[in-house]
Amino acid sequence: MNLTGMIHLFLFPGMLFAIPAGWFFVWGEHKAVARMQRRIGPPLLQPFYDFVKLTGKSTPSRHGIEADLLRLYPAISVLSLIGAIALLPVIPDGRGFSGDGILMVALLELPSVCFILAGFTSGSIFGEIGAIREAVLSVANNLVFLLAIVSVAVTKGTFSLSELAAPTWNPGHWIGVLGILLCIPAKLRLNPFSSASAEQEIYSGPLTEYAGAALGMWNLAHGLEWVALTGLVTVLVLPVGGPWWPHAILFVAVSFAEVLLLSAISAATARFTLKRSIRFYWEWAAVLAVLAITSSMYMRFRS
Amino acid sequence: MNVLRLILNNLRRGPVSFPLPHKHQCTSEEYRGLIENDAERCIGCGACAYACPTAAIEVKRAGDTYSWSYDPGKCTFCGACIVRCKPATLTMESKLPPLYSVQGELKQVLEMVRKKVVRPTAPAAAKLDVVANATAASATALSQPVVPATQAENAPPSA
Amino acid sequence: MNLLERLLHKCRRKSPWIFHLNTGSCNGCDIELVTCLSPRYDVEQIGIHLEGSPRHADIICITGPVTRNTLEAVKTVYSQVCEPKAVVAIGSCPASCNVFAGSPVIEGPLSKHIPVDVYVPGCPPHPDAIIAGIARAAQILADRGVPEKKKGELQK
Repeated sequence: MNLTGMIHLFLFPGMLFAIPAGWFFVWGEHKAVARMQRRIGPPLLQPFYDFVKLTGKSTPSRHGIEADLLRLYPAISVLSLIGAIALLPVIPDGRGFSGDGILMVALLELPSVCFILAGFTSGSIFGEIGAIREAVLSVANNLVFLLAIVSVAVTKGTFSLSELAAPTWNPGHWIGVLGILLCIPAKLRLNPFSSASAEQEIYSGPLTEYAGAALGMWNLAHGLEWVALTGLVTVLVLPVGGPWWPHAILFVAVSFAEVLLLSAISAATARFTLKRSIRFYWEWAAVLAVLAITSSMYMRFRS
Repeated sequence: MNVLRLILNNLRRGPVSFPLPHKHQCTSEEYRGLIENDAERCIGCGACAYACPTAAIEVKRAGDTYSWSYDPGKCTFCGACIVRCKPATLTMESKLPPLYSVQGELKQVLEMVRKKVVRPTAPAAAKLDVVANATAASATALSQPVVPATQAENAPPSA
Repeated sequence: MNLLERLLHKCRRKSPWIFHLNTGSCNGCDIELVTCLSPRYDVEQIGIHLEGSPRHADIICITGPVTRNTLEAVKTVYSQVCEPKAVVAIGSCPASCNVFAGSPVIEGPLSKHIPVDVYVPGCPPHPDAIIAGIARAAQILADRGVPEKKKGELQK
């Protein structure tokens, strides 16, 4: 692995940027929702305080392979999300390889799979219910998510993220980006698609039996998911060209704007039932995704 | 779109929360807070202890001394003791009871001594006996009534 | 204390996550506790977060005299909260059973079964008193996590 690869993985937009950015975005969501409810909201460093406090707690003792598996799932989630963020062409300079869009989608799917497995492995009934809900929501929104990604890729004929980062006037590209944006609340377990980690309703869902550092890792993975998903939409929306530092600043600014938009939607809506969530994704959003892919194929192949 | 209009209004109007740690006045004039007793005027009747539903107030009497104790940790701040207090020595302050860590830590005890009662002096008592004698003499003149033993004891030797 | 221990002490004080347990309360104290989370008092400002699972929480806020049916639940939840932990007894019911003392179905004051760190008196207590009680429990929790020989270095 060469030096620029190392810098992208560990420095920017990798670990050293992604982890504080994740905490910043989580704070942004809590503060925005609080202000919309006429409250004051947490201080800026609150997610950092929570993380450090959780690493200092003792964990309950468990026996057998369960204990190791339960600790492995959040670690896999965090590592795959750091990899996904490192793949984002924040400064598009032609690096990356031709299939990295597919790798990105796979890395973004892994935390959801780990969440489901953690719910089943934890052995509590609340974990099972939460895992079932997350599995159903994942099937529902992946249809739209994958169709949207494919429609964006068809506009250029490649899955390489660096090439997709330069947006065109093809409507397929823009409807595809809208489709990705519609899937983000379900992936982040925000209202209105927050059935899987329904607060208080199923205690804490799949994370009920987690405590201490492992729970801190899950919260960190949640923050990194924010960065990865909003970063993906930002990268597909921002124009390329120019020096690197306005690009980086614009990346963070546009991602934070998406955080505020999604927080507004989450503060304004209630929790949908599973049936209604599936209906939303497989009826309305699927129509949008099919429109995206047909228009991108038409625009690409009409000449 | 009602809720979006509500959100925009909320963002415009700003937060209503008290910034913590707060500095505002928590309790109003009529807040039901701690009970205070006036040791000078309390007579140790025990009506407050009788009325208290949680036994937060206890009155113990031993000869000439009595103690009045109050545990805010047990109190339900209902005010029944104040309603029953005849000399009106109990009052309710609008103060928050403080936090504590050990059970019974907040219990306050007042030890009081029963105040002596002043009786009237001897000459006034003699005048009263003369009046009683006169009525007894007129009674015997009219008939032969049964004189109660006490009055017979109190009557002077010359009946 | 070295830098890491100081950082841990500060973060434990600034992020007290609570779990609420009702052991037969009349709900007056529970309503006042929920009021603390409402926009008027907004305890999220000081990092308090109501958690759904006892394993996630640091501080257990208990209301109600401990009834016969909830005794097992109290002991189970207390054992499920991970160290370091603190217990806050809200209201006069956990302290002395209030008007229910002497009843055959009341298992007595809370201190008979689990150690209590802070009592918040009141029937029901004022939300400001509850917030002060939780803040004091967070301080006790942070001090409890410091190893014995370094306790002298704590500033009050």
